[in-house]
Amino acid sequence: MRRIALGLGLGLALGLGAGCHARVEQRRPVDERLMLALEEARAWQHRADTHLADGDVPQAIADVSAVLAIHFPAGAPEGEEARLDAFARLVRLHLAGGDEQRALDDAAAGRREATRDSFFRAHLETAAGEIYEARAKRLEGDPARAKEARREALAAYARSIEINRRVQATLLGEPL
Amino acid sequence: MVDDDEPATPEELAAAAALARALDGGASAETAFDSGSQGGVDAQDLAAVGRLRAVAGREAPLGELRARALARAAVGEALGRRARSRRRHLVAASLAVAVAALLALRIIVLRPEPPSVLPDRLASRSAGLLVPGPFPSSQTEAQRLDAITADRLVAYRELRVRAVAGRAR
Repeated sequence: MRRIALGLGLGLALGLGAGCHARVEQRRPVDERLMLALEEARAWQHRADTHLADGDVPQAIADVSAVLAIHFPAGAPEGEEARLDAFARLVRLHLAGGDEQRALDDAAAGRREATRDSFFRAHLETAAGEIYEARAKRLEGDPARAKEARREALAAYARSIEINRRVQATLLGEPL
Repeated sequence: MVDDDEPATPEELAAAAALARALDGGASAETAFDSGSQGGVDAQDLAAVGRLRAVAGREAPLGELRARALARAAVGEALGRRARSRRRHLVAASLAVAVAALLALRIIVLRPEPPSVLPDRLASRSAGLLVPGPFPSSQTEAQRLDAITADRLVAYRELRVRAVAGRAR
């Protein structure tokens, strides 16, 4: 009886494995939901540009924040990248407004959402590096703390460079 | 009705002699039976002889031939059981393999069209080299989304055309 159960279990596992393998390879075609989400994100970013041109930073921040409220299709890489771009822009907008802590929070939130290497993930790390670079400038009167801030900035830029390299190597089929 | 006062017939004398030989253990039940000279001793009589001898503690020890026959029978029974058990396991293993093969076949035959038939350009995917990094500082988020959205719109239109063409066939 034990052998019967073992044999049937093995057969079931093999069968399910074949099925699972087929499911993992499936890719979603571009569909209407994705197009609607992309168009909305594009519109909000253009709105932010327009408000910034008017000097209205708070409204620009609200426009970019609206991108994060868009429901992209689950797992869509375009959605993750649009969101990472929005987080990076919020980092710079908050930093420009002198709100370092909010900028750090935006960078952390973006990092948590990233599931894969991309140019957008690298871009977010560059924005994070700018936070520490700005801190170092602010702390010029305190050499030790300024040095620490510059070290953090260098680390963030190094992460950005590495991500960019990996993505390029993958896309161009080059060795790492 | 047999008259016990009448003298014994030659047949009766022969049967008595055979019974006496059986009781004395001079012959096994089989040989007595096979001798052809039992003179009317039948199987019932032999069974009775066996019981009488057993009661008297004079039952003949199991003959060598009989012992071998019993041993052969016991071994044969054991081998038969083992063979039956092996057959059961073989059937079970064959059944498991057949189930696995059917499952795999079902999945292969019924699974949806393999994803490799969907060209890259029509799939939801990373922007990749469409907006390569590092992003120049002069490039805005809106410009990147412009490029990505335009590219995906072309793909979406092609998919719609394919769908319509497919229905028209």
